[in-house]
Amino acid sequence: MTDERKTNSFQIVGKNAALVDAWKKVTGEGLYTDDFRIAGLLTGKIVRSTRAHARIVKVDTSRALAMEGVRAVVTGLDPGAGVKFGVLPISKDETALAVDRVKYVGDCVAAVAADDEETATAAAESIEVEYEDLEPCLDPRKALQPQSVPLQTKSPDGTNLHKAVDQAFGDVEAAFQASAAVSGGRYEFAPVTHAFTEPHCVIAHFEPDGRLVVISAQQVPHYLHRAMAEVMQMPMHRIRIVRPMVGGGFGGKSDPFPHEMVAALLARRAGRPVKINFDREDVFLTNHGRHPTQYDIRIGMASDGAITGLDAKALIDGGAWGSFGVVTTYYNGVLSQGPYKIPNFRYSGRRVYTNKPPSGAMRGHGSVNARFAIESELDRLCEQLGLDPFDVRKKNALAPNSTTVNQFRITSTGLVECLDRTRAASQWDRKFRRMPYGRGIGLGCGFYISGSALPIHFDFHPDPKYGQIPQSTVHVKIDLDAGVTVHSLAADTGQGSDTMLAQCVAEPLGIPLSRVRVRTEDTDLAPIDLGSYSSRVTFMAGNAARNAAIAALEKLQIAAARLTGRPAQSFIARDEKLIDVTDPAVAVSFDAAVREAMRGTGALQATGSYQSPRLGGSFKGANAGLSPSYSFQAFVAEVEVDPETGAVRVTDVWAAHDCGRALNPVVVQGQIEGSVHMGLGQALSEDMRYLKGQVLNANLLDYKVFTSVDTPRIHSIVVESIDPEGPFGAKECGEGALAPVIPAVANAIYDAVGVRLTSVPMTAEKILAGIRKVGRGAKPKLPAGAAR
Amino acid sequence: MILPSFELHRPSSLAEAIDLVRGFEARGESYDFLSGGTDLLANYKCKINVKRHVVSLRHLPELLGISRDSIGAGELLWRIAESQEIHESFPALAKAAEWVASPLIRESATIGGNLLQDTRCYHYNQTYWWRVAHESCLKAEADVCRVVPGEKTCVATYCGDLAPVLLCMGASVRLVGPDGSRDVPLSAFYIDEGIQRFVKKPSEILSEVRIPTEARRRKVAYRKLRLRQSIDFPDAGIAFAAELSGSRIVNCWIASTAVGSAALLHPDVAQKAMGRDLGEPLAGELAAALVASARPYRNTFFAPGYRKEMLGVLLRRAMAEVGGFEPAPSQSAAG
Ligand SMILES: Cc1cc2nc3c(=O)[nH]c(=O)nc-3n(C[C@H](O)[C@H](O)[C@H](O)COP(=O)(O)OP(=O)(O)OC[C@H]3O[C@@H](n4cnc5c(N)ncnc54)[C@H](O)[C@@H]3O)c2cc1C
Repeated sequence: MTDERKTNSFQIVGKNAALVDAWKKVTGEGLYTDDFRIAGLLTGKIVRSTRAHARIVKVDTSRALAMEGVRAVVTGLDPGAGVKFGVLPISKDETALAVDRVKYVGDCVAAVAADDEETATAAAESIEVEYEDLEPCLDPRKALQPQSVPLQTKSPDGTNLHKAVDQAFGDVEAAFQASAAVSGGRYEFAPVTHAFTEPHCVIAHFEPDGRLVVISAQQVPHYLHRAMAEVMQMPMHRIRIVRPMVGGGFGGKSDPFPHEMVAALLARRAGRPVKINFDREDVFLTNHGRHPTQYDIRIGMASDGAITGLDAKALIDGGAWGSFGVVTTYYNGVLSQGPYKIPNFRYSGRRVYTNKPPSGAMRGHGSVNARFAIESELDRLCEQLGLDPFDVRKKNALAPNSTTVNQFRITSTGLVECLDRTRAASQWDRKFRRMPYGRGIGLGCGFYISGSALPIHFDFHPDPKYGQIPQSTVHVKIDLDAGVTVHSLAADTGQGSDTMLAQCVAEPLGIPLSRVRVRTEDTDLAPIDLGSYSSRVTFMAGNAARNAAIAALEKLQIAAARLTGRPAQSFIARDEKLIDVTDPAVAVSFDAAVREAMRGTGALQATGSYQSPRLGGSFKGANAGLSPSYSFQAFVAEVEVDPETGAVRVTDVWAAHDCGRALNPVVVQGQIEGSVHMGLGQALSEDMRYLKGQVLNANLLDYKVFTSVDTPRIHSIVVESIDPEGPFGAKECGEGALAPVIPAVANAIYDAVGVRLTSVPMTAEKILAGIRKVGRGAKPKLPAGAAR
Repeated sequence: MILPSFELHRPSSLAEAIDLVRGFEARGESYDFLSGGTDLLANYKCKINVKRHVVSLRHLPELLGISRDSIGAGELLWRIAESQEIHESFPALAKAAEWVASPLIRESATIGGNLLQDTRCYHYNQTYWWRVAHESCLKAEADVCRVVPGEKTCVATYCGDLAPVLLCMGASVRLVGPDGSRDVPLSAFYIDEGIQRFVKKPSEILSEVRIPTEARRRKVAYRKLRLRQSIDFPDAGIAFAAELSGSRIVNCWIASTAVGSAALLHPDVAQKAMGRDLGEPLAGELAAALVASARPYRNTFFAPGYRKEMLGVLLRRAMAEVGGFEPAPSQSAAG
């Protein structure tokens, strides 16, 4: 098979395709977890802690147990309820139910299963928990000090420290000494959460032979599978995970969760299937959203605009549990290695436990907060040195096929094209510093991984000679109907990965999407894929799917050779035929080739897999942030600021994103638009507020996600750098496009009214206070040397 | 979240509804009226003040009809927003209706329910579990206020959008109860206390909103502070109305919402405008006076200081709309 990455003669790839599940969704026929009907299904309800930090003295379940219609009650004392699990094998610190201590308001203490929701609710409310209050730790700064009762046992010196990362490359201080300018500041980030449409939902069901089936709205069925096996103390092969349609995840469905374990514990006790369907409040209390963070940064710049060094320090509020936090702590530093050359770099990150709902992974995981700080400081430096923000970013852009100081391998990059195209499309040169007071324009760039090269894999073998279990495996099956079934555990959470898999299989086989059906919902059928996180699916599962299709094609080529007497290698697949390239008059239909290939063997089976190449350095933490490829972004936002109210209206966002090859351009555009929308929420309005550790706005009225009316015009610009290793040249497009919009808006606000904000959300109140400080009418000036 | 159980009654006439009420009163049973349910049922789901009986007013023909003189309490907000008659005669009322909540909610929400909607507070509009964890508040299960510790009266905020406009129009409400019917001017209807809220007796049904003919002579404008352009309740709202002779104010009204427990007229502030020219100097003066008199609490999205200050901006903008003048140029970049 020739490397078709370089050609442009695709029939499927690169063409807009409706999502393969679109019809089911728009007609309401698609099944989400809550839609499953199983005979005897009970409703489960969780009893949540009303205390931020307390010892559990007694849980009185007697009233609940006595209620008619109540079928099971479980507490932290149930077998399995206290087994520690977590998404990262290195920091398993969660339990299904609190065993002897509750760690935040909303922590799961007990649960009931009953015939209907009304009974379950009443029974849950009847359970009395006696607490002995402990001092809660709500302030991450205080979490670094010794605690009267530390939240987790592994923290050093009786503190609430979860993870410390310290890295240095080159000599930052010396670089700053030699810089023309050094700028820095403290950036602060309110907690934000995913706010996906479908609340978490799970059904746990023991089949008559004792096998456990768990249907759950999950991004990462495989990790749930593993954790479930540990908690239920059952072998994995006695558990089946089903992931139906999922109404959005954004990282908020990528941990194995207590409620999933609780459903299984209840089902075991009740001997009947149990469903736990969350209310929106449960979703907020489960959280795992972006970490509230305090980010201190300094950047140095030479007079020609070259970045000389970056020094960053992050204090990251993890809430009660570890979740992805070890990764978060690394990412807050290492993902600042792009999209610019940073010759000298120092980072110190601390993630701490506090008595709040846990933080976790959220779209753009680990990169978003740092990006706001970096891009804001770059603009400050540009202003100090009289340089243009675009010119400076272009000058510092990482080159293709280069290596960063921390040994990231950069292959494809379209950053320069992103910059050039947004600059032109936004009419930057006519607008920057030139619009009337109150109107402004700003730039922000970004950089993100296309999957982590080192998987969160429990079976990783450090010695390369043993090989690894691949990160993605895809099976293709073709039978007499000449339809192609694709099996994979890559989780379509609405982002369209099923369609991507179909495309990656259809293209090499030369068939339309209507011949392909994708089965990704069931661990009984699908070969393991690590799931939908870290923007890995297109790159990794896509490559595996393409490889599987190529393996299937080889069988069809041999069949075509048998039927025609021509050499197998001379056949290409196109237009549902195998065509001899040396003589296109000789062709075998796809159906005929399938039939021939099945002689003596039956249905065709082919496997493809993907394993990231071994990358990176050998220092401590060298693996963090390694990816086989990276995406790049340059965004411009235009805003109107009302100087009397401080209110900002974002009118336009020009969003250029380098996703390698856009396998399905309309989906790429959708991802960019969704990312911009989500980023704007963090930039301007979203903020989980707390009252003594209790979430104050655990609903979508008071937690302000932008509506369609508030969303600006989004001009998506798809830049295709054609990655040498991505499937057909593709890389990620689901996460990287979030981060740049926040600094772009901040820089635009500065351009509009001269107010430099360093904390998000950038509320009207803060902007108004800023305007008061700098004075109304204080529009920043064009750089002295600006020629344009 | 599920609705707690209650007994639903669906009378088909106003008289039948009143009969039901008589029965409940005689038996001492608790009850609520239900129109669109967008306020009541949201609270019910949170187990806030759930009653045994719920009387739906959805099918009462007496509560329907839109004209320049009267709007039936059962009329839906989207119909009011789109009514030709209202648009032509009272554009500010149409605007206020259009700015309520979201399109979906306006398809169920009524004007009667809008005027009578419960007051709101961060400590009150929460689930039952949340209130238990927080040891509840004065307006729900506890006897202390969580906004102003020690306070014995409730400071929950009234967040209706239509009331300030109707106050400025001089509207009144017709209340029909077991003891007959009465008209109460809106200006005497609301009580600035978060639990009592208004003078309507529990047994009375609001049947219509009556609009006096003078309202047609008034030019009215409404301004609303909110973060998002849809869904959000007002965090402050100001209506301004004037009768003008040229640019001179013959009479004027200022009403606020979402900065206290009631929608209220501000006659003291309006007084200053009598006989004066409707323009920027006056607007600035009235705005300052209004801001000085306001005392919002920390129980909605924006901080009280900000809401207080914004009242002035909203008033100046409402006055500018009525007077057809530009608010001071440096202050009008957007919005
Ligand atoms: C997400 C959301 C956003 C919202 N945003 C806004 C907003 O921006 N602005 C705003 O003003 N409101 C807002 N609301 C509140 C509410 O939707 C509206 O005020 C609506 O007009 C209420 O009308 P309803 O018919 O649904 O009232 P209901 O819920 O049926 O009733 C409200 C109250 O009035 C009583 N009642 C109703 N009709 C009568 C009657 N005829 N006689 C006697 N008593 C009666 C009920 O017993 C109940 O106590 C919002 C609500 C939600 C859920």
